[in-house]
Amino acid sequence: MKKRLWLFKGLALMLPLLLLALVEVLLRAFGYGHDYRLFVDDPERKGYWIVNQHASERYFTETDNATVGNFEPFLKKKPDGTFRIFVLGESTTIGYPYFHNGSFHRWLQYRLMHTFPNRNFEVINLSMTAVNSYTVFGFGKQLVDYEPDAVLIYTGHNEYYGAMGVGSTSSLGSQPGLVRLVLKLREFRLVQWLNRTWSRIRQTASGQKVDLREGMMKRMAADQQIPLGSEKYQNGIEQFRTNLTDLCQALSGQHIPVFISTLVSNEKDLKPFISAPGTASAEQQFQLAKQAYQKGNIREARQKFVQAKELDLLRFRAPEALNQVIRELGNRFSNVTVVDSRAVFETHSPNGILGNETLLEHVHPNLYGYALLSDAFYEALKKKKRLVADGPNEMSFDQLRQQMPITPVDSLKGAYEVMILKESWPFNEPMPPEENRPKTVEEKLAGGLVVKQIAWRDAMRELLAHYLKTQNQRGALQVSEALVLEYPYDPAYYGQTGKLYFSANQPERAVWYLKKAFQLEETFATAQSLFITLLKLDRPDEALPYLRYAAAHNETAFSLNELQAFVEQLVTTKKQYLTDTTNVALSNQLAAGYLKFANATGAAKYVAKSLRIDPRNAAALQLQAQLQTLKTAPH
Amino acid sequence: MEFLRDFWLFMRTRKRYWLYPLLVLLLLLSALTVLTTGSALAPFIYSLF
Repeated sequence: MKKRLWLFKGLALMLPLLLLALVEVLLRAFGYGHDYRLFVDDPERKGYWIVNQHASERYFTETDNATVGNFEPFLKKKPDGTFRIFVLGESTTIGYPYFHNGSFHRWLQYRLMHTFPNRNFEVINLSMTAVNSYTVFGFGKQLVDYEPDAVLIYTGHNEYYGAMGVGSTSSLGSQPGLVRLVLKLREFRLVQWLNRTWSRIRQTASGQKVDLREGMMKRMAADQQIPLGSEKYQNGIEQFRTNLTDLCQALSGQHIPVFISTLVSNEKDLKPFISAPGTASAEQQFQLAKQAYQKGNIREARQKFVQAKELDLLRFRAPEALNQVIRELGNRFSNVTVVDSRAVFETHSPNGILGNETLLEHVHPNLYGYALLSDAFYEALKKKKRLVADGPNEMSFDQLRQQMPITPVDSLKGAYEVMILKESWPFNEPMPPEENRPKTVEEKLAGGLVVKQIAWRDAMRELLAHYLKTQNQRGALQVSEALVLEYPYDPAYYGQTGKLYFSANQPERAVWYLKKAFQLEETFATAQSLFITLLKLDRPDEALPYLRYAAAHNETAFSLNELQAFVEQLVTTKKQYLTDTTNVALSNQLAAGYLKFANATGAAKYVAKSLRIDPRNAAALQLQAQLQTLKTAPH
Repeated sequence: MEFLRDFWLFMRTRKRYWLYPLLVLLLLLSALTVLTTGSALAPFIYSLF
């Protein structure tokens, strides 16, 4: 009897757990709540992963406020030779206010794909605005299952006021362990239900009492000030240290290389947001710094500008202590490389002090700044021998800046976003008066993007159509390449860019884009463009497979068999010629072959070779005359 | 059958063995939810970062 009583007691104690489990099962069965896994099957592409649109909800009390980032698919089965990079971080990391190709990861992607034309790169950005090291840790530790070759991190500015940060969370915010427990518990639908219920209660209560927007400045000033060295300040640093250390530990265990950047913020051209009264205030340090700067005391100015930022009570800019934590991580873990972006920005700023030359407002870089950020990561990847650039193809930083497909619409959109941001608290800078003139197409599209009247893809399509109509070849190419970067699995954009490069008389680039298009989707049109371009480049051996494909899938009334036979012959002749480059008969034969199919470029190359060896060669001179006729003949 | 009847009787008479743990669990979950709530101001400043 006593034994049975104990059994009943045990069963009774377990009953609540069983009851909660039952509720959980029922909630799942009825589809309540969301799965918070980082990646899910891409609904648009079989065999690809994509970021789960609900993954970030776990970090926001009100899930409606949860921010989302990019949705960049990647192959479930990583192909051999593919270099897979994941990027983690906050708004700077995702390229605010430009997003899309303004983001540093796209600058990096563009440089990598042209520096290593024969390698495949997947650069997947998992960053989103308003998050901090909790999200970076939560997302990052899941990456071990997805075969990364490198994980790039830029985070720290949101440590205090970002989601779950010490300055934005109630009393348990200072306990990283408890916060992480809550984040783990939020995987349960029951906890999601509790969370939503609590949110509704809060919303109802706050809606009845106070207009939050109206009193925001006052409330921020009262509730969110975090003095240097205060308990909350220290908690923020500990939170950052704990999350990043644990993440580095997790990635280190799997020997995954981590590249973590130091943080940059505007020190020279942004006065502190909130300053304490008194002599050692942020405002006073800022004024002293400006005076020193004007007098040319650069060393003193730099020190005081940094101090002014450190003393700013509104911690929208990361304190230097976080850069110290980042450097410590580099010393502690062998797989962690510190990317000193701060040093790179200093090098490219007047007198080595960070200001408006590289930054738009308090923390977000301008396009030049994003290019620098990408360069810092690129050089770190190279230095750590994760990538070995082959000389002639390497895209220099200057080339990157010239060629990066950032359209005027992207650039203007960023400028408009910042104007809007600066108009309100805590900047309170009035917007410049609107110019009394008709707006350009680019301005109209950028305006439409800012107010979300038009989607980015549609804006780019309109811009491309406009450039094609106005015969702005350079502009059209830029937009087309921008679309390739945004949609790297869409063969149509590669094909379109290839054709545009061919028209722009840049056949090498044309071949690269066309080959990518063909890899993604084999079509007659792409094969045709490819063999024509490759023959123009005198690469018949490379052209042959595409010609064979086109002949086998011919969609035109013209037979390609004769051309195929000719190219096969050409390949043989060229092989012979390469073993005997002084053989004029062979170079004449190659010139005549190209001439037969009106490939003036190919023909001219071999006529020139023949005449260089034998300037009076009759056959070569005759071919030269024919070539002249071909060039002057009306098309 | 007898086992279940006895167990039911036990549950009815000694509620503290299952009701208290249930309440404690729910309270704990609720407390964690409330205490890690984001500041009501947070969404309004998200545009800044």
